[in-house]
Amino acid sequence: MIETYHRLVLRDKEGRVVRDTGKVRCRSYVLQFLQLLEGFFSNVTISAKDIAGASTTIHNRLNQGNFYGRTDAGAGVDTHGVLVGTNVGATPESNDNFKIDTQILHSGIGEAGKLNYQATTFVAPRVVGANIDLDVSRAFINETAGTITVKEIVIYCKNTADTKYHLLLRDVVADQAVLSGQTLTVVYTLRTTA
Amino acid sequence: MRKDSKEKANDVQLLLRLEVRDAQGRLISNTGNIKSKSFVIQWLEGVYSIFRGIAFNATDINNAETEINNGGGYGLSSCLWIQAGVDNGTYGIVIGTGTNAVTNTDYRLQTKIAQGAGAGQMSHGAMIFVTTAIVGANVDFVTKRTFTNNSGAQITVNEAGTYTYNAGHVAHPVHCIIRDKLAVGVDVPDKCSLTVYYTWRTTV
Repeated sequence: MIETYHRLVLRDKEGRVVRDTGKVRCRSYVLQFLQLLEGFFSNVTISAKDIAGASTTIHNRLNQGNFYGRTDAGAGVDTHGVLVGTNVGATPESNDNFKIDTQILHSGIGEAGKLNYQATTFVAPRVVGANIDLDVSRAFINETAGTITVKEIVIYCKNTADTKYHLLLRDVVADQAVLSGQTLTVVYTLRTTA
Repeated sequence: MRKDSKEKANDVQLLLRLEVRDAQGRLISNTGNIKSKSFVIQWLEGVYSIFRGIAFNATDINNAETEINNGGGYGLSSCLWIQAGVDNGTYGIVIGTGTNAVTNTDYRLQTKIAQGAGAGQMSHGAMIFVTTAIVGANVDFVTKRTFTNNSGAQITVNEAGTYTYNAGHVAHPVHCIIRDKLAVGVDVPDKCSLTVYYTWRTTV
C-alpha cells in the first residue's frame, strides 16, 4: 500500500510557524494516476482526461519517457506541480475529478487573489524509521494586501511533448487562511512500508 | 507541533491474488485478494524519477546502483517496463520459493523461479493488463501473469513480486519494485498453472 499524507505549514513573514496541520492521511488519487502508471508499465500510449476535459495523451510510448508525468514546476509556474485553489464550486473529491475546482493563480507582483508560486521541490525516497517516504512540496507566498483562503490542493502533471496537463491527486482540505505576508507550504508524502 | 492524523483513508492499494488450475483449467485453489504490503524502496524511486523527468539510480536485482529511469535517453519511452512476453522470466510479475520476511530495502526475490521446464522451473506466460478503469467505487489497474509447471514435480510458491526493465540502458538493468512473502505457500502441482494477479487500486 502507498499511504499518502498532506501537510500544510503556515509561516509568518519572519518564517515562524503559525500553524502546522501535521501529516493528514488523504484520499487523493484520481483515475489519471493509474492511467499514467499503466502507460509506463505496459509501454503503451494512453489517453486520459486532461484538465480541459479533453482526452489527450498522458503517456506516448514513441516519445522519451521523461516527457510525461512531470510535476517539477519551477518558480512562477502555476500550470503543474502542486497547486492550490479555493474550491468555489464546492466540488467534492471523486475518482473521476480531472481538474482543480478553482485554482489560485500565480502572481509575482501581489495581484489580488493570487499567490506567489515557488518551485515544486522533492525529497528523494529514503528510509524514514520503518517507512520509505517521498516528499513533494511547494511554498506559496501571499504578497497581496488581503487574506486568501485555500480549500483544495492538487498535483498536476505535464505532458511536455504536447503541453497537456492531467490531474493526479486532489484533496479538499479544511479552510486555510493565508494572511498578507504569510507563506503556505503544502507537503505531499508518499509512503510505503514493508 | 500537531500529531499526525490516523484518520482512516484510502491510498494506492495493491491486491495480490494467486489462482491455481489443473491442466483442464479447473480451479484448484484461489487465495482471493490479499492486501499486500509489498512495495520496496525502488518503487518510490521510480515514481520520483517520473515526477522529475530525470535519470535516477536505484539498487538493481544484482545489488548494483543502476538507472531505474534513464531520463529520456534512447528516444522512446523505455523505462519501468513490466510488459514481459512469453518465456521471458527477466521482468514483469515474478515468483519464487524464498521465505524470508519482506523489508523496505529488498532488491530482489529471495529465490526466484526461473523460466523453463526443468526441475524447479516454470514456464512464464506473457504479462496481461486490464486497462485502468473505474470499477464500482474504485479505480483498478490489473496486471497478471500465468506460470505453468512442467517440471515433473510440485513447486511451492512462497513469494511474488514485480520487476521493471530499463530497455533504454545498454546494460538493461532490472529492478524489483514489489516483493510479497506469502503467509501460506501456494502449491502448484506438475502440469498445473498458477496465475498471479496484482491489482492496483485507488479509491476516493
